[in-house]
Amino acid sequence: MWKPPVNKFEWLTRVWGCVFAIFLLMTPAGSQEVAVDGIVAVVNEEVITLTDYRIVHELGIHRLDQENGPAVSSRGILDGLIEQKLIILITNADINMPVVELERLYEQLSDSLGAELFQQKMAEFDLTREELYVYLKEMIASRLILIQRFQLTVLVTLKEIEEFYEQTYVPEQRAKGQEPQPMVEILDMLEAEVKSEETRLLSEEWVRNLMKEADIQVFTEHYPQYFDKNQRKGPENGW
Amino acid sequence: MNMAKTGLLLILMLVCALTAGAENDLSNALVESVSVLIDDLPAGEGIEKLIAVQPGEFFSLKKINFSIKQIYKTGLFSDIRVVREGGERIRLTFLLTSRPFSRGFTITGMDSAPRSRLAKKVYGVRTGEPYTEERLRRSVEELREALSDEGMFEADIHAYAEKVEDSTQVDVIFDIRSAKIYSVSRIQFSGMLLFTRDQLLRKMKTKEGGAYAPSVLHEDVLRLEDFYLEEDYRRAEVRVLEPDFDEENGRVALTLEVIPNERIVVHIDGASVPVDLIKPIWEAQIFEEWGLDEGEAKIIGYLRDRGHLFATVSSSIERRENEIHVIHRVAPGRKVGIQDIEFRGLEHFTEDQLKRELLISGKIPLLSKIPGSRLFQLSGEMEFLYETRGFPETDVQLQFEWQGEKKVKPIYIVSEGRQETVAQVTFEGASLFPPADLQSRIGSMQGGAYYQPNVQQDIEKLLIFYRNQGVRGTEIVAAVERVEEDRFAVNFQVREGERVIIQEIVISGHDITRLGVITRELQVREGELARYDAIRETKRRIEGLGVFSEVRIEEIQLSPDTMNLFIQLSEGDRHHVSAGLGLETAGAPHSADVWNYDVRLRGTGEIIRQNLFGRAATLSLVGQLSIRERRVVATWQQPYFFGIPINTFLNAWWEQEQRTSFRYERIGVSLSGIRTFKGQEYWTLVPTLKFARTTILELEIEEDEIDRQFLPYSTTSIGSSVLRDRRNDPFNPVKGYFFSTALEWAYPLFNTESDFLKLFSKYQRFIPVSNRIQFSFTTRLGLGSGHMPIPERFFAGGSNSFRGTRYDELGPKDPVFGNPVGGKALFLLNFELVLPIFSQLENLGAVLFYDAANVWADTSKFSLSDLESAVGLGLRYRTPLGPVRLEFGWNLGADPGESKTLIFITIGNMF
Repeated sequence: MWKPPVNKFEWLTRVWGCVFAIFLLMTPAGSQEVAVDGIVAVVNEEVITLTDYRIVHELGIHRLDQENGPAVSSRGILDGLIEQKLIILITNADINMPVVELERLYEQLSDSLGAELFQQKMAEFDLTREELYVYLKEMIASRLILIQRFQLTVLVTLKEIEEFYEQTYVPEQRAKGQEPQPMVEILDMLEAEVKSEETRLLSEEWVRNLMKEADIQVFTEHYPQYFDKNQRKGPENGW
Repeated sequence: MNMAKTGLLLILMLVCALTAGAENDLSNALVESVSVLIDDLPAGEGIEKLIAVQPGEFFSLKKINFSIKQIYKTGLFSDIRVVREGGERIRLTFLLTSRPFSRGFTITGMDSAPRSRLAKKVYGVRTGEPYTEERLRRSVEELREALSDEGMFEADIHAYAEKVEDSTQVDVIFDIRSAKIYSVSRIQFSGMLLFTRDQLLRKMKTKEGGAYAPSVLHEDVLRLEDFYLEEDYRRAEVRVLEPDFDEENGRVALTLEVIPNERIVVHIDGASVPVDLIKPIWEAQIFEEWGLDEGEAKIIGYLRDRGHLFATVSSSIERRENEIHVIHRVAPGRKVGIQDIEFRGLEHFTEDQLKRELLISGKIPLLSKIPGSRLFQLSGEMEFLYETRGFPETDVQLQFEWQGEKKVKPIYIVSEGRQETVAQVTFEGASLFPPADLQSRIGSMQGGAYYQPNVQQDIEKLLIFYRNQGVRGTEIVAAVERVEEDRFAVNFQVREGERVIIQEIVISGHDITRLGVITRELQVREGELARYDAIRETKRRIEGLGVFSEVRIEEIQLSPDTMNLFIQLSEGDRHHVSAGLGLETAGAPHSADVWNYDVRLRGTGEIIRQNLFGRAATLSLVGQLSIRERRVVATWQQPYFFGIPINTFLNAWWEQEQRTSFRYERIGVSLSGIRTFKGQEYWTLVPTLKFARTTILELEIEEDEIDRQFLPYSTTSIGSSVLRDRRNDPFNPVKGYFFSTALEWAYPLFNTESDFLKLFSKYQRFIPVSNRIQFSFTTRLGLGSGHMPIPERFFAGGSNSFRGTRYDELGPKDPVFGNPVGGKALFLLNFELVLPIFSQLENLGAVLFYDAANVWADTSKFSLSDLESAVGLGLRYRTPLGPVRLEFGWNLGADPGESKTLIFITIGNMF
């Protein structure tokens, strides 16, 4: 609790203290060393830099087509980049996407961020449209690889559909105060849900196994202003 | 007071507002300086060349990002950060952390641990591998798993790395502190054993009361399965059930389950065919029909190779209790000889051409033989050959024409059919090179044969051509269109990449080697096109210096039309010491009793120091010591001679050798070079300057036979030899040839006494007659004139020249002592035929030889009608360093009193 100074000396101390503080704040920005860029992760000898991470994060690429999903931490975004890089490296995927699709995603990013801020960010990173497409391609390609790898091969049995209907769909509907539809009428929808869930589980397990075998190094400790050191996920916690 | 507080807060907020915002707005900031620190120390120029950001440019995150990735690709750094100071004028610093590399690892603790076996299973921290904490962790897991395999479970391993001073290397230590070991309390068997427990236990290395090791148990399982296999239980399985561990007492009980499956017995009736030929077919689970078919094919092939061309086989399977009987009934037919083959219906090929293509040309009459089984395969081979020449519908039928009772002539009736040809070849989208240039690189051509795989090969050739011209990123597809019934238009659609210029060449890793020594080998320069063949040649030439254990060249793309070339080198070990011990034989044995044969020890020692003064020069000292000869040679070798790329050798030597009729000592120096002709590969020139002083220590011939004034004598000589070596293997040649000719002129310079001219030429030819029959011949000619002291003369005789006399004993003899005196003319002719003996022992062969040779005192006496002859036979066993030879030679013209039969034991080829 602030108390008034009792004597002249104390007054002078406080005044000069404030002046000194103001002087520090007035010091031109950047006379200290500031991290500009650097390696934040290496995945099987492929580098992810701080700029790569910032582009994905600040332009919102990590949330493309998943706007309603949960918020992702900075470390979570980096982990997603690591997984994405690993999937593409391991499968040696040839990334070819129609330009129309890339343009659609580009517009989606712009709309999501706001056109002015989006352009500002593009200028800050000195990115051309084509260079941004590279980041978009990698992200979409890794998702497509997982879908192609698992969704097409996953087979769903009637028993699994029944279990999903009874254990998940019906309770959810009742919790919403709605009457569950008969199973036969929504069979396709149920099958799609079960398939999607199984695909997700299989792909997560596959990615986990990839991570165990991969050579991954993370260097986020150099960039505390971007990564909270309390968010940890890494080899020591078991990929 | 509250007002004071509020006022102060307002001032602070204003100041923050003024300073904030300046933080992130760097787009208009100028880069004032760029510096690079490696491990907090200033870096050399090389790395700075990889940084795209230059002082005076605007700040660009994109360029910084790009630079980081290019620097990382060098593989030298584990971490790269970029920091800035300043606001409108920025000072950038690249902070690089050297990547540590493992120098190797050691395993300590637990004396019983088999270290060499464990080391083989640890991969992450091997010598030369980059070191990271993650790799160390993985290596610990690998070691733990390897220890479990050896019976040391749940090992407690303390792993750490120690940095090597003044180096980026680390030594890794694995300290095994403890592990659990179990002893085997009991071994039980379950299932249908068919044998007693004791019989099975005797086959195992794991014993009750002994240590338990899963790796040993796994080998025991294989031994048991082999045991059942020997008893014709070809599909027996032995499985180890879950071990029962008694943790408290440190013991484990093992149970092995035996599933013998059926006993499989193979019968081959009607012909003497080894059943071992068929047995392996039934070791796996296989459809019975397939097994029978495969067995029949093997039997028929076996019989055909032995002349039973018309053998037939019928097969069946019978089941009796727990046994399967595979029965092959063979009708072998007549054994016939194969007369030369004939082809009918040939138009596209001549008979000789076809035989050459199919590798069935008879190089040596009467000695070419086609295996019977191959006769039946030739039809398919010919059809494939025609297909590659554009004939898709060729049909080849094999018929036989009897030539008497025991010989047949195979006749191939060839219906060639239509040929598909290329109507035209076009190149679409190619603008960098004229079509004629591209056409010259490919095999497809107008009027030539059309074969789809050839078109694919042409694409590969074109891609290589573009890369060799410095163009990267080219893509080519081929579109083929049928324009007429049998004519195709081939259109190569080229999407050309960009011509790439090399902006910078960065060389790193040369701590000792001088930069000039490396740049001298560069075949590309900064500012030139990035020609791929020149880059590869650069790599080859740097590797050829012999001082680097690894040479890597990375292309680091800066932009679509520029790249940096990064040459990363690892200098190899510079010191080598070796010693060898062997046996030598003094010459032909003096009796046929080889157990009394004189065999003596011979030792060799060598010290080599490489890359002296960083100039890729080598200094070596070699010593050889035996009863017959002693030799010490010091050699200085360097890859260039005053800037000329000639591999140069400066030798100084001292030697003493015992020959049949004299012993001499010599000291000398010589300067020689080895140069391969540019564009004429396999031709090598070796010019030599030599000075030597020779003293004859013992002479067992009349002194009149040589000039006394030349004892001891000195020579200065200049010589040159030319070599061409096209042998497929210098130690065990099977095909090809070798040619050399050497001329030496000894001139009386610097008060030296000798004055002679000497020529020696050699030609060898190796001809494979069939798969395992080889023919070879050698001819050698030596001519000399002038004053030639005895050590300079030609000698012949012995296992490596003429196998009708002992070592050195061919040619003129001293009239008093009868010892050879050598001569000024020499001629040698050697013929050899090597034949197989046992099909199972491919390296063992029998040899027949004929040698004709002589040595004349003077060139005027040289005459090809005056040659001595020897014939012989022997055995030879091929080893990686040449054959071990046992040979018996008969001199067809031995003088009375001379030994006619000689035995030779030698290592190395005859020539």
